[in-house]
Amino acid sequence: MGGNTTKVGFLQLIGCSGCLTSIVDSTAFKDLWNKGYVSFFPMLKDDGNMSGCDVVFVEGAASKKDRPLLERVRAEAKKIISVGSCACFGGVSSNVRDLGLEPIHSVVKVDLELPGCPPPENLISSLLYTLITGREFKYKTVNVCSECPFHPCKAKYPIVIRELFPKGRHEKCLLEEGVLCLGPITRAGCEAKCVVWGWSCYGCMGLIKPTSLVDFLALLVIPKELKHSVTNLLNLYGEVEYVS
Amino acid sequence: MSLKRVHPLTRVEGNAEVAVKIRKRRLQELELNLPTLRKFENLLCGKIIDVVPLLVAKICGVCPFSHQVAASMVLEKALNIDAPPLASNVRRLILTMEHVRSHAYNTFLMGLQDSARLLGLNEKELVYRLFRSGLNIIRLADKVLSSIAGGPISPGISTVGGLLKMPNIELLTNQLRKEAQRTLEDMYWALNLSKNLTVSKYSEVFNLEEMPTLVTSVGENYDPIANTLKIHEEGYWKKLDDLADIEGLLSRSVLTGPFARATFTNLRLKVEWQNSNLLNLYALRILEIINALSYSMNLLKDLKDLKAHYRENPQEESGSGRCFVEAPRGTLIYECEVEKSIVKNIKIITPTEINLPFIKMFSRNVVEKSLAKDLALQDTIENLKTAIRVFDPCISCATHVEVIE
Repeated sequence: MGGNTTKVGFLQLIGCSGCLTSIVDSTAFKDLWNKGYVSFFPMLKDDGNMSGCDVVFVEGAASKKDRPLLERVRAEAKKIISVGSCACFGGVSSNVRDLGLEPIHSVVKVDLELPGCPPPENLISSLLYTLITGREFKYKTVNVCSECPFHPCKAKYPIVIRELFPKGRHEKCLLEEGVLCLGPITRAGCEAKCVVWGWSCYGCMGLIKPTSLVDFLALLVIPKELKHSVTNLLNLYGEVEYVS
Repeated sequence: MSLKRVHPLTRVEGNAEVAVKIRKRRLQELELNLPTLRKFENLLCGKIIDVVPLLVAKICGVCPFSHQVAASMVLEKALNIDAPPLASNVRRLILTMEHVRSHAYNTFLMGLQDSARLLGLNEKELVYRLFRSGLNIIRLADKVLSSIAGGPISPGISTVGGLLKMPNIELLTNQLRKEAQRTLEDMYWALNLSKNLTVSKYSEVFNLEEMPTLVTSVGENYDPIANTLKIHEEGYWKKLDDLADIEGLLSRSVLTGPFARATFTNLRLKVEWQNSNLLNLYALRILEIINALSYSMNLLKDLKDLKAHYRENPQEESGSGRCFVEAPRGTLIYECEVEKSIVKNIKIITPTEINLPFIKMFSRNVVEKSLAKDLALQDTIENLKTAIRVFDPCISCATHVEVIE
């Protein structure tokens, strides 16, 4: 990616706009805007044409209605980048089954995916600067635990899950306390923000490898009465299916 | 017959579309189509209550914490607990900074093209200064929200019974004091500029024929979680707590948001309100930003004196409740029924949904007036887009509205 006169477009599908506001909030966006790279961005301006864009960022999940539009974008743009968990995995809205929302890669070929709900600012800026500098964008290949202040986990496997959410202040690894946390199987990059701020990790950055969920679940003991809610939580970002 | 489809219309997700049919320079039809529904309420039913504040923050990336605080409060109401005073004040602070961020987006970024057109700003420097002022105030709000809630969009710290974590108040106070001074100068400059909107080239078409009925839940001194709904009719404010009356709001042409808040708190007296023109909303939002900064500083002073207890655990598992939170666009209403800690029913009425009948009526008026003034079709369409976006670019957050007209 990169080049001298990259024209960038931002396409909004079904989501919450949070990923696009995160892009606008990022330090790199001002540079991109000032250098005239932003050619199409309906959130900020009416004029502009997506047809001439070299790189199109897509936010939100796709409905059936969006298919022709995405196919047209694919035919014209050199790169399509899915931004956020809705575009990458279907996201929270894809949990409403009858909406039929899909991740972008299920509709057209995607060149790069930047997950997160929303994607972390440092990753957004690093990705946007690749458009200006031509540098290569690199994913983190470690898990959320590697960024977690409560790392390492001293729990002994199998871990018995007692709670789905942390109750009150916690000072050590949530799994040690029997709280469900997807940190071990989720790709890093978010600095374990949810865990730091009192939630668990719900996997918005995506699985570190496709088989990791099955491997992880094999290490947990989930009481019968929690299974339904665990399924809900594992499905939260639309990427994983857990059949108990 | 001229049929003009305007797409995208809104500045946020989903990109609503408006179709306008004009015959012999008279408006025949105006149809506002909303994007695919996300049916968030369906998603919430059957969920364990603890996940609800997390999920509803995904309804809107511009105002996530209004939803999160509203969900926390309605569940507290249903389970008959009160959040500790410290938690309520932190929530006030979070919502106030969210108002700042959302207003900055609305006024300086999403609304920039509209205001630049109306003011005839041809100088690139001036338009860029407005854009930069917006980005600076957004950065300030982002920093504060990152210190207090883990970020401007997520994760958020409001949950059933209070907060998940207590932010570092001292750090926050220093940060806000240092940064607020820098941005205030820009805000006063933009405020003066925005006052010219009501005497600008097309301003007449944005005049209101009569004062709309106003609705707000804001408390005196700008409290965003005062949790009482008020309606302004025949010159008086009265409390609205009958369920039928509240549901009836959705079929009436009422207006919620800065206009209503400013009337209730007398903030609008600070704007030269020589006519009832909807373009005053630009100035009102900037005034609200300025106001919010001093309100936040006062809140921070109070926070230091409160005991560090910030969460109550509910003892009951079932019940129902309703709450009103003042979101940036206006009053946000949540109703919820809980059974054994599981959401049985939930209803979310967003400010956008309350405003929709008014938006529809007002946008028709703007088109009719533009045509009557013999404006070109392109100018008429631009005025229509401005009319919708000036007070609400967030059509898609109306969670269960389908098609208007």
